Amino acid sequence: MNISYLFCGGVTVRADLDNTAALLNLCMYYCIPYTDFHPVEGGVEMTFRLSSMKKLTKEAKSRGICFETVKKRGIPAFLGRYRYRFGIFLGMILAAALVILSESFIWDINVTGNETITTAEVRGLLESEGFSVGSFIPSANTDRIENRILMQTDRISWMSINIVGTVAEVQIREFAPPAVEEDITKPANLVAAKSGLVEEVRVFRGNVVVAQGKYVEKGELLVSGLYDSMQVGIRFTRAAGQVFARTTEEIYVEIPYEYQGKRYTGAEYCDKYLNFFDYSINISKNSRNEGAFYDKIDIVENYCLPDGSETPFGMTTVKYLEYESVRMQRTREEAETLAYFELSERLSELSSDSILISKTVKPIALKDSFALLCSVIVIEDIAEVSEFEVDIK
Amino acid sequence: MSNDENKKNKEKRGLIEFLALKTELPADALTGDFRIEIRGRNTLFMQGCRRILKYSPEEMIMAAKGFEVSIRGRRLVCTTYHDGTVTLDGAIDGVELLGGEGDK
Repeated sequence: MNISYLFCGGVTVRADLDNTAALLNLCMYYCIPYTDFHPVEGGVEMTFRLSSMKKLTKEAKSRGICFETVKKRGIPAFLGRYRYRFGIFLGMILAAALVILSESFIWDINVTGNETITTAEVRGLLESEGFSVGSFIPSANTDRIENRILMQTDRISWMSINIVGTVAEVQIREFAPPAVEEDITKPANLVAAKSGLVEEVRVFRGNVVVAQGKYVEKGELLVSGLYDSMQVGIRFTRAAGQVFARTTEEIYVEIPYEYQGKRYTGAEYCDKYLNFFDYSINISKNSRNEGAFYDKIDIVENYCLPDGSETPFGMTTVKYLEYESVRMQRTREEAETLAYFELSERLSELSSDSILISKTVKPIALKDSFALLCSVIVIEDIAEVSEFEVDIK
Repeated sequence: MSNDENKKNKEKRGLIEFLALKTELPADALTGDFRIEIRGRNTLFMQGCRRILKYSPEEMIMAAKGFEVSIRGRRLVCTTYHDGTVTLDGAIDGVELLGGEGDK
């Protein structure tokens, strides 16, 4: 396609053989340029510029020369086709304005340097200071926001907000609390936190009163903070150390056969929201049964650029799954599977310092439930600091 | 050649022809007449065309100064026509000056 026709517009006309000579004469007489002259069935076709068409049509009409317009091409012809559809032009203007204006707003916030604080928490802090996706960039005073957040929370020791284009790069350093130093001037004993058979004693300070192989009860003294000697009399210290003992723990898990459960009715409703920065527009309306119970699932899909970065435009789909709350029965196998799963969860909660020696699981089939009685033997540190007061007179 | 015949021939030459002969300039440059150029059998250029009188794939008739030029052939197409210059494409079978009927 001729590039000039793209921008200036072009019109292809068809004339029959009787009118061709007259049309060519007219073009030459008025110096009207044409291109792409080629014969077609019963006549010829040629292409004129859109700007020449007015004169050509007028003069051809006055001379009785007939031709028909076959095709209009180019941007002016395209715009001319939609010249009465103001909505399209309005939409194009709004879209252009939106693109230009959107450069002045925050499109995304990237948080780096956080380890224990979640990105959502950091974003929440920023939002509480009025800085979020959609904030107006020229009015964002990043220094003030940084200082206010540092005063607001003790968990962040340093923060920097850099606005790169329309993306806010937020770097933080989390506050690392200094290690709490133990006050060794305060006297204390080590006592047993659990009953067990002492396996090993590692004492750093204090007077050991138990030996390997001795069974101790919960609360029993393991390492004393008192020393008694003939030369200097009684003196005290803060006992420190580890006492590893073989302890037994019982875990009981019971899963009933009958339980209150959900039964989905199959009715499903969807609401769709168009997301634009922080704003959401509901583009669908659904009426639901008011008294019913629903599980609500939010699916947020933000559109991404080809490089993978997320844009603040997207669609949120909220699904409502209707259910009834009913008494339900599970089989013995289901209850057993669930019980073992529950037991593994409970076992994983044991201290990571513990060494598992043995585990005995006893399944118990009750009338209305299935139970597991698990007995575990572990070696763990049972020493617990127990401070005491000393009255010096 | 006898003297009478020479005299007769001299009478036939017009002023323009005489000037063209003496100045060794092409006649069309002096008079503004048409000029036709045929390249191969498929392309014909004609300068000095004043109007196209007939347009068809088999025959085209162009009006020039003092003549009508008829071009016969097959698949004749007038690819350009601007400023009195016509370009014809197609299979050209013959060119004929019809004379007398063109613009004076």
